[in-house]
Amino acid sequence: MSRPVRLTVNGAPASFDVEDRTTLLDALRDELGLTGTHAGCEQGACGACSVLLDGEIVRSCLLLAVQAGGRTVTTIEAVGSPGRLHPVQEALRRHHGLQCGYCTPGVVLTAIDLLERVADPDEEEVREALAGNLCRCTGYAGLVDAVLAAARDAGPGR
Amino acid sequence: MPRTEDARLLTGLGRYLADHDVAGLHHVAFARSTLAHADIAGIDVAAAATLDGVVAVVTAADLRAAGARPLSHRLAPPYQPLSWELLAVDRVRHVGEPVVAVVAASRAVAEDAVELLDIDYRELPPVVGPAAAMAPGAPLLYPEWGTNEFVHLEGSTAGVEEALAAAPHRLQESFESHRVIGLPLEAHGAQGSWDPARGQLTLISSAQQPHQLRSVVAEACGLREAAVRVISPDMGGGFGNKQHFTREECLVGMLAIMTGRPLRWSADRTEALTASVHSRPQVHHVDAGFDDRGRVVALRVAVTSDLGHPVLYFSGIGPSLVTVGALSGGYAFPEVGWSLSAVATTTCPVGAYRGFGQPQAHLSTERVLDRIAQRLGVDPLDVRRANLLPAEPRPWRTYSGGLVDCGDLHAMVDTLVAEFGYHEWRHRQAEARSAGRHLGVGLSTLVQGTAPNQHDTAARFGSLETAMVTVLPDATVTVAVGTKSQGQGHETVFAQIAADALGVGPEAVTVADGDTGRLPYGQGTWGSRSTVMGGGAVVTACRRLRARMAAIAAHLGLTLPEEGPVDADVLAAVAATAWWVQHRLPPGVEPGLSTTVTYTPGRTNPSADGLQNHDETYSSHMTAVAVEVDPATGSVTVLDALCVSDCGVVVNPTLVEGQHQGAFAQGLGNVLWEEVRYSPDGQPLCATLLDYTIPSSLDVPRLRVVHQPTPSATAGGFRGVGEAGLIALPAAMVGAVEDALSPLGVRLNSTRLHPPAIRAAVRATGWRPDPAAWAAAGLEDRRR
Amino acid sequence: MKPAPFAWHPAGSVEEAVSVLSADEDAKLLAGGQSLLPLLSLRLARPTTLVDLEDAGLGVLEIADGDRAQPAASGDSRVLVAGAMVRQRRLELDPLVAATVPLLADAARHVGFPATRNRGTLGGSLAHADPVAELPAVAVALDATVVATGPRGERRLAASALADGFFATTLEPAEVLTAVRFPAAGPGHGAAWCEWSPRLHDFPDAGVGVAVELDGTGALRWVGAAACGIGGGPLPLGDELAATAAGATEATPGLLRAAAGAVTAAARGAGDGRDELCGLLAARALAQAFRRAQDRQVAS
Repeated sequence: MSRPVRLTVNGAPASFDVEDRTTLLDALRDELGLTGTHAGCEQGACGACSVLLDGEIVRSCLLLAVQAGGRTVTTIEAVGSPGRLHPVQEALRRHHGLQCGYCTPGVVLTAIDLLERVADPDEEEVREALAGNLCRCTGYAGLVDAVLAAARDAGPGR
Repeated sequence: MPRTEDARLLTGLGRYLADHDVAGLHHVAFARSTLAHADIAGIDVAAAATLDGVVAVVTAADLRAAGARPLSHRLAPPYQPLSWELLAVDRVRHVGEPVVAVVAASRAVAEDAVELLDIDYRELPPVVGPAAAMAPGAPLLYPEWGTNEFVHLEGSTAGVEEALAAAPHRLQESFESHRVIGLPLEAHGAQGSWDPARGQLTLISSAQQPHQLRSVVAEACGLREAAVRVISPDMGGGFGNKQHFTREECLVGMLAIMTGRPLRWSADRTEALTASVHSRPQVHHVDAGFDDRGRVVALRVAVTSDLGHPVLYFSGIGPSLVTVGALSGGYAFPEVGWSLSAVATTTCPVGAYRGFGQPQAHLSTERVLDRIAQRLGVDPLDVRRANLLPAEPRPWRTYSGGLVDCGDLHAMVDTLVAEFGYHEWRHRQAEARSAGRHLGVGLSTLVQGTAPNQHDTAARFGSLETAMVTVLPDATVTVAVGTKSQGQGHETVFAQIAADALGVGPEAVTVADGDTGRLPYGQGTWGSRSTVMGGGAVVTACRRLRARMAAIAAHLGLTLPEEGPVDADVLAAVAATAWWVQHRLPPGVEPGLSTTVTYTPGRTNPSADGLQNHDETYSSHMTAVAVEVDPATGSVTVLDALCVSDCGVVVNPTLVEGQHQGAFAQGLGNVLWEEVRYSPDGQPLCATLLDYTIPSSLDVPRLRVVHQPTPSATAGGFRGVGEAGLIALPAAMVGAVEDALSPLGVRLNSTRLHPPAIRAAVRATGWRPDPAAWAAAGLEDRRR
Repeated sequence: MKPAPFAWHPAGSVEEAVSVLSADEDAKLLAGGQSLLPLLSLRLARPTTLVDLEDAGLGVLEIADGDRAQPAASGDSRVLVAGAMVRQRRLELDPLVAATVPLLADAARHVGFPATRNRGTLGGSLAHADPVAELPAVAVALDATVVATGPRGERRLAASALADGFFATTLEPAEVLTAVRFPAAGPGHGAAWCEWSPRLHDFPDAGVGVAVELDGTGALRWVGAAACGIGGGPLPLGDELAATAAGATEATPGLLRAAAGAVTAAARGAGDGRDELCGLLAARALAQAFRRAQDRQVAS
């Protein structure tokens, strides 16, 4: 049984018909073609599918698409572009904070969520904020450097 | 230099396997065995086949009727004979073995249909672990073998027994490496489409070796290789887990042909954890003889290897064969003997993972040296110095035929001691001990083979790599290479190598890999081989082109130097002339500016005595770690870790650093938290990332890396770097943790450094924590 | 890994949810979904209907007068009423929680990750009854009251009466857990949650929450405690700690050793040395709670 869902995705109205059992992750990918949100575990354990729901970081595999009706979703596609990276993306690039890139969209959104709340995090806070985003490639060193640098570059007056 | 691939990966515009939707795409789910060992008495597909949205329900019999061919390990005796069909026939031998394939409009519907299948299993006794497999009267996976032993091999230098007998000291111990998994964050998968008009199968697969996969899929599907194109897109990691050529990839090809529809199989996390490729489980019974100075005079290692259900192509025996050839590492052990008993069990197939058999060998050699130090009461550093290869000769020929071409290991150890602050750490350790804390230092002095050649033990592996380099008419450059980046950054590295060799800027170079349509053949990425082999091919092709460019330039009255930057106007004139004005080319010069090179360093051919150097070159990594162990909880905290690395010529220091950090994290994760576990009846106990726990950002400290490079003799002088931490860390960590707990009398003979295991080892000594002290120590710890 | 089919039913009220549950014994409640969605995807849970409580009006978080005499924490008779749909993230960050039920705030930060705490709820955690979950143990430690509404109306039960073994509660099939009422902290109150997991921020091998109330002379007047990760549900430890710590004015080494010993004995049988771990964590939490209570007294 399908059900229509209307919501705002990346600043624009969006709608699709999905089965009730469809996760927000699958709806974003399959119905809206937003394949930057990645399926890493579909069990809420890895963070690769992280998106912002009404501005808060959440895991799109742990939400039904129908639950997002009437809400606002932000995915990686709304954060910078290859020619105009977001400061967090630019920092990740500069500090080699990614290798295969599969966890990266979730990391970018989680870091943005952190910096919205904590303008000047220390390394411990950064590591704690990213603890739910598993990365198998980098060993996290470049990733932590990048988020600290992004915070530093943004300056205290953010 | 930042990576060219980053811009798309950072913005969600990478295209991984599951990002290739096409019109009419269908999805595949597999019914997989729920039992470790059972006969299949019957399969009723009726209910599943009639479910709305289901296109096909396919069994082994259907595949056979459609012309699918079985896979085989392609090994001659003494290996046991073994072939297998793409879906299980009559019997299943591990939980997760594919039995029925369903093609449906969505993955959800395909899974609904799988639930409607009625598969009648008649349970057989499971075989879990090598001991059970080799016990008298054990149930047999393949009764026709008469045993569960897949192969038994032995090898030895001439004087092992005599040297052992005459040795001033002996030690006999067992060391175990436990079962882990590579676990790329993107699980494996493949997408097939069949063009009946052209008789062409296109397979997009998250595969490390697209060209060899083409060979295997063509054979399994009954097609000519020319009728199959394999594309490996952006990959979310590989680590060896996507190196074997899987049943599922071949099945996707067959299902596309059978249904005529484009379709995709994306492994979910449970499939990835229980039914892909596990790695490492080995037990070593070690017998070592040594002298008063701590020099090993003879080493004999009996290796027992758990292959799981050995239905992998290439054969999962590969890593074990590497193990028994790598038992001397960078040490001058004069006599080495080994035996290998590799056994089949009713568990997930065991095969490749970054490190590929070397971590297990390295564990035994390093443990032996640590034990010698304990027995003689000397510093483990001195025992290593006493055994490391002398500076001459090079290559050093090992017991197994290895031609080790490494640099000066003693100089590297000197650097390690200085940069790590080895003696300072020993001092800190002594102070901590007197304060009741448990600090330990572990050492790993590693020489690893890289760019290996498996052609004798895993069919269809040569030691070559191909690259096509083209300077286009507008003077931009394309590079196609037969290696396959899984996140390592090859687009950047090979662009740098080509740019440097051609004298252009790296931004002028576009690199493509992972497409059998672009190059005749290639070997993919594994075994720390890509920069050595792919880089060698690229640099060789560029040098050839550059010679041609110089000749054309001279003929035009222009100057194009042999090395260094090339003037843009000169390059433009040369490129335009080469492609468009053939009559102005010097006589005898090939027109155009493109060349395809098939490169081999040529150092892995068998020698007259029947031994073979299996690695084109060797890299060296001297690692030290300092840890603190809380014996009350069993938790291990890495206080410091440093690696002195010789990976030959460094193309991109940032990317090399990334390889070191990443391998370090995996090595740490393997020993501190990860283990693929089974119940006694062969049920997997790790089916989610909540059961198989890889480290997070809170768990992995930074590795300090110091480079001490010496160029290899391969084209470009590279040595490879991808696996070092994975091989070095288990040995170093076991040594460090044991060292930390040595005042309690704890001895560690296994790579299981998981907190519960450490707690148990500590409790067994009778030691108990003081709750008051423990409570006070943690009052400031905001992380707990 | 996709869920089996089900129907999603957004309930506009608790009564509506109860009526759907009453009509369909295979219907299940959806609160935050952070534990339920994985079970659905693994097809380990197969409800016919998911009754979504998002809009059922269960987001209240407020101070109310106490409805019964507080056990021993007589410093303050008020309660913090936390609706079932209050997010774990809010428990962690809302100053009202930190001020009135500090143990709840201290434990909440250990639940999952920010991304899951943004969705995960108090009621969902208690009703899911995962034996390693922190919040059910907090409710038991503080002797909180659980409020549930079913076909026969509302009832209240002690948090310790909610747990019924692994992933099971004593709630009736058609009952909705609507709120938890936590006794509010008085001036001599101090609390600490301590847990230990193999990876930092993982499900704990064991976790212990301790709350203490000191009287005007600084002597321990009341202590509440419970552990998670030991056995099938929250393990109450208040009696063990009261027996060793009543009247104490300092968390002396001797007291901590005795407390650890008593707790270890209570947790006996937990594998992998988790009984001793539980004792250690109890000692640490007691020491921390004591210190915080003393700090609070100085400050007030």
